[in-house]
Amino acid sequence: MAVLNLTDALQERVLLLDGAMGTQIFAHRPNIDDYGGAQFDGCVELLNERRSTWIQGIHENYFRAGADAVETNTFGCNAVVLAEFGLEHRVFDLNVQAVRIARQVAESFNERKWVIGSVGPGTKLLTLLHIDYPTLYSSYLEQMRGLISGGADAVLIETAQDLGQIKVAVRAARQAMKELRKKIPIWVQMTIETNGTMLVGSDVQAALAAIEMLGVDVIGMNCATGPDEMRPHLAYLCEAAPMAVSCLPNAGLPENRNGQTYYPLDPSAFAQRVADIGKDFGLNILGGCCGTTPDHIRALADIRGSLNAPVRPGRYERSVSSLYNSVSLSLEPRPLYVGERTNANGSKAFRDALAKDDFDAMVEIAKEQTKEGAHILDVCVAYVSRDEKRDMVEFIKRLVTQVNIPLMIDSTEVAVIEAALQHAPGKCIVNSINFEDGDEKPRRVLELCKEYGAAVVALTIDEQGMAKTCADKMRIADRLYQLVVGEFGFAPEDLIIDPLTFTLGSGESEWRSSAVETLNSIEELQRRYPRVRTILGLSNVSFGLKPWPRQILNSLMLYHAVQRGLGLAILNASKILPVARISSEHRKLFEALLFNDRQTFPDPLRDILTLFAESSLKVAAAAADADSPIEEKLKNDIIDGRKTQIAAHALEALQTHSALHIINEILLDGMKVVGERFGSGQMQLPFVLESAEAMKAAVKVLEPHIEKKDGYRKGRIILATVKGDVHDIGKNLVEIILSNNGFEVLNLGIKQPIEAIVETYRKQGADAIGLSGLLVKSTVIMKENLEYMAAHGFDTPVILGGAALTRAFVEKECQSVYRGPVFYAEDAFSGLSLMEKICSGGVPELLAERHARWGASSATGPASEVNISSSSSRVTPPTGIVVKRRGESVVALDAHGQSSWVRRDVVVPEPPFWGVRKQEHSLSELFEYLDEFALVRSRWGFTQGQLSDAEFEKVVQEKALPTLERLKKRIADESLLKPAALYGYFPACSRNGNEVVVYSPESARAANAEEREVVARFVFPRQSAGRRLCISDFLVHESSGKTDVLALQLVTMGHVASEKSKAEYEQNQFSEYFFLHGLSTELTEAYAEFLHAQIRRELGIHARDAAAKRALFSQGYQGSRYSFGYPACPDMELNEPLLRLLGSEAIGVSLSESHQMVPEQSTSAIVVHHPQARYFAT
Amino acid sequence: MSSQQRALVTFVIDDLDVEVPSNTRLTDIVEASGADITFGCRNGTCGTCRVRILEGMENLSPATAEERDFLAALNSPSEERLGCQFRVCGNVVIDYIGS
Repeated sequence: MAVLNLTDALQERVLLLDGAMGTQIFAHRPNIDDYGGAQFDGCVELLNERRSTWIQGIHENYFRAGADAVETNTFGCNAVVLAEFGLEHRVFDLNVQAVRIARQVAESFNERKWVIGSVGPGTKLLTLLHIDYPTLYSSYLEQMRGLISGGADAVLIETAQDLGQIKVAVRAARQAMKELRKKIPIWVQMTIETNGTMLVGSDVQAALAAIEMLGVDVIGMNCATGPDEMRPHLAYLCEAAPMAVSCLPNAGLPENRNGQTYYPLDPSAFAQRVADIGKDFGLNILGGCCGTTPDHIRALADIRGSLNAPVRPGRYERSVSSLYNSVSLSLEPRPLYVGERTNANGSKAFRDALAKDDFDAMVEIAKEQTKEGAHILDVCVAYVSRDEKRDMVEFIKRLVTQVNIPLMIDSTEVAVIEAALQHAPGKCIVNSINFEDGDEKPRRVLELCKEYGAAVVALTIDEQGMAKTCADKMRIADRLYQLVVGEFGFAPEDLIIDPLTFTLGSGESEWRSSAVETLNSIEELQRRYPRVRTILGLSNVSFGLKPWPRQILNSLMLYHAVQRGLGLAILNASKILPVARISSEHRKLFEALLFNDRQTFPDPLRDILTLFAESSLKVAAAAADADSPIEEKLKNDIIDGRKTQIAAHALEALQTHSALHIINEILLDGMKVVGERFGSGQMQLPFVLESAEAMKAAVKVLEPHIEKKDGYRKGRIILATVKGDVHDIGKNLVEIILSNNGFEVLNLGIKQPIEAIVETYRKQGADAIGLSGLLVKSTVIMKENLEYMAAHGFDTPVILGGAALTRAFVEKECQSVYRGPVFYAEDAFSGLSLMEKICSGGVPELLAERHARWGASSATGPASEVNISSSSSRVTPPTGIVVKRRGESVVALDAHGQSSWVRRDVVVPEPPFWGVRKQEHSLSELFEYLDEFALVRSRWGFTQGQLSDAEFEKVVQEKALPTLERLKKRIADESLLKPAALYGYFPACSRNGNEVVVYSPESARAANAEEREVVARFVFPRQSAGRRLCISDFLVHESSGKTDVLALQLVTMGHVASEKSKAEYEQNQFSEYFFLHGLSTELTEAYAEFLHAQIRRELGIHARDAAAKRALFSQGYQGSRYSFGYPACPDMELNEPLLRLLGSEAIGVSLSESHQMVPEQSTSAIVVHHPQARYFAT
Repeated sequence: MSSQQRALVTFVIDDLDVEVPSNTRLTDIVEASGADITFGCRNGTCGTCRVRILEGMENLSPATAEERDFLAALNSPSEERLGCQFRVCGNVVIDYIGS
């Protein structure tokens, strides 16, 4: 047989490694004699010398079992571990001996066998600061020297728990190879715990980003878990990694049995699971870790023939990473925000903290930026007269565990850059290189980037200075590309070119076209080098201008740069305006400056300086300028929702106005504008909530200055969600809008019986009572409440609001049973305008409007004529709708009383099991099924209204989607959602027309209906016209002698989400409350959709699933999923048998007395497979 | 358009003709006549009420931005509309896609 080297062998076949070493050693029951003294007890590395025949035997057994390669007994053979036995001086020769033992056994075989030098993690974690960098590095260096000198065919850095440690070990291996002039492959295997991350918290994506940059030959996993737990991580690695992938699991998840560690997988079960991973995703190296034996390896050898050496697609999207997670350099929507405030040159607060050695305050500034939406953090601690290297190391050490976004190391000093890279475990970006002093320094920095695995920012500066024209920028960019990509072999994505931007604020003619040149160069760079990324230090463009014009200019520069292809922007994310918020006059003027267009504005800079020097109304219309009067500032604080500065402005205004005047005349005037803009569709609900938060913040500081507490209240309303309804959000939005527009709100909460509402009214009085509810059933309750109030002699105005209501139902049917006026509020602002009128004698006017709409049918009902018998919510039609002809061809009901429109010849699919199973899924899987369209437009209320397409797109891109990204992170960081699910398959039939009977799982095979055990019955309503459908029609009839399959499902996001969003509400974080509530609710739907897709796959009816998610969400599949409370099955009480069948307490879901699920973020459904089953209304 | 003008709405699946004042919402027509069309979210984001306009597309109010974006994302053919989003201003023949 031809002698192959290891790398070639990996191309040709799947390579088999050995199994556990420790387990085999301890089978010999080593005693103190074996170790050579009590002080060496447990030092298995010493057995290489003292019991070399044991080690030989273990290697031989693995080779005989079919292993192509064995790992040396050197797992802990480094200075840090051996020092615990006083043996740190033996590192080199023990490693050499261990390799030689394995080598000797390998060479006794006729076939080519290899020896892999095992390098374990040691006992101390670098990233958690258990050990310092130089000590760990020299510990590894000596071990690597021994392994390579001994003749290992590769080194395997294994059981790695810390990305920092991997980087040190790889660097030590390269150094040892350089010294010994011998190059062997470097393999890396990480250990991912059952929680899905490495011990220090890195996920597999973050690990790949960091490790891929180190240029190792193999990436893989070993230890901690069995093959099943490794599977999802290996699926990612196999898809993404461009290098070979290894898989060395434990023999299952270790269990504790009678005080002994027990590994549950026997050889064939183990091999089967590893083989499945290999078949499904493609593995290059197989083997075992703890609990595996030569028999496990033999079983792997038996199945190896069925696996082919895969070609790695390497679909890794190039990223940078922190210790915890990765950020794609191609993230859409662009740009990636690079936070600029952890920079001693850019932020005074940061510089002051640094001057005081207050590293905790510096970390706080870093955290603030992550909250503001930064994707990457620029870190610069260069400050005259301080030790930059020390400051950098101290800061980075704290940052890496406390901040979860990747770092951009910003320094001009090579030594500082190296120190920073040693202490940042993820893949960083180094900022920056240039050719100012030729190419020697950039080469040194690039060497470091290669050695420590970092991307690089390169500026278009050369020996002639900073490039101003597009042509010069491109000339230097070509040179940078040649050096970084051509010579140093960086992936183009890891080169980030900064084409420089200069201030337009100086007015010097030399710089007037500089922004145009920069924008053109971004476009040209993306055209010439589509994979290279571009970056701008954005705020340079407006240097010298006042803060507000700076924001406008920066925002417009960013907007245009992104249009041209900009990938990253260094900026303060909280100071970027959506372009839609810039008035069109300002936009024209600032764009004239940006594009050096002197046609319309002969001197745009002068116009800008003049405009912002005056406190003109024009300025105020866009936002408060530093120079505008305090009244305008306050009003604009409200309109723009600036809650951070409004308190200070409110206090300032107190010097000239009374608190009441400020609230009633200034702040409420701002809220009025907000209401008008919302009403006319210029402003979306989330921005309105920000305004309300600002209002709340201002009132909070003003309230102590109000003498008469009630003096500024326009009126009072009692608000409640009606009995049996748990929906909070609509009512709370009304409270936010009313209470921040000068009304006092007594918010009684959810599930309020009318008796409690009336009691509050009796005690405290109110100008109106507001009833809210989401459910169809709640509309009935509202009418009953009105009947109750009428019977008890009330005539207080009542306002009804809720999704299931219609104007006609409220103004006619509900009004007919109540003597006082009943009004319909379709949203919070119409509730506000109703309250304004009610509290200012406007009721007759409102009733007149209504009379004009409906005529006499909307008259208030006399209190004496209470109609208690009918409580149907069927809406009285608006006038003038006349049914002209109802066709003859009404669908007939068959002998069972079921719709003859439904086909009866449908094949019943076979479920994979009968009964119930519990499942838990990761949030990332669920986000795949998130209906972003519904989330953004419906749950979050971002509707286009009067905005142009471009303006609306801007809102989506700059507010909605970044909010989604931020919340995704927040949910993960704070573990806000705990998804869990139950689902199951039950035999079922239809019976007596409208009934579905569900049998016990054991009854599945019983042909005779009498032998089946009925465990639940569901009775559904039937359409009175049209197709005359009822859900029961979609299941086979009991009389057929067959049974059908009914799937049941229940998903929940857990309690934390509700509690957390409630806390946000109580702390007046209205917009965050609203966003969080909307997202968690929509994610619950996503989970239901996800589980339903799984059920269709398991039933084998997924062939008709729509490929596009959008279509899938619009019932693009076979069968239907019905949730109780919706039109086809409005009866919420059916949740009771459903949750009982599923055993809902297993995932902590229970029912309220009104049959709604607790926690609120839960949803249940029955799933039918019939191809004609769709949503329908009864 | 004068409020006196009337329009005839034909629902194919029900074999049903309904006469309505011009500029009436389809939701109101369906609720008043009991036609077999199901509405979900009623704000143009769920797609439950998708209908096919067999005749009279020109007699419907233009699509809102939400409706346009929703249908575009679905690659819906040009004869489809979201029932919850339009008003009827002239004669129209409607088929429900949900069936």
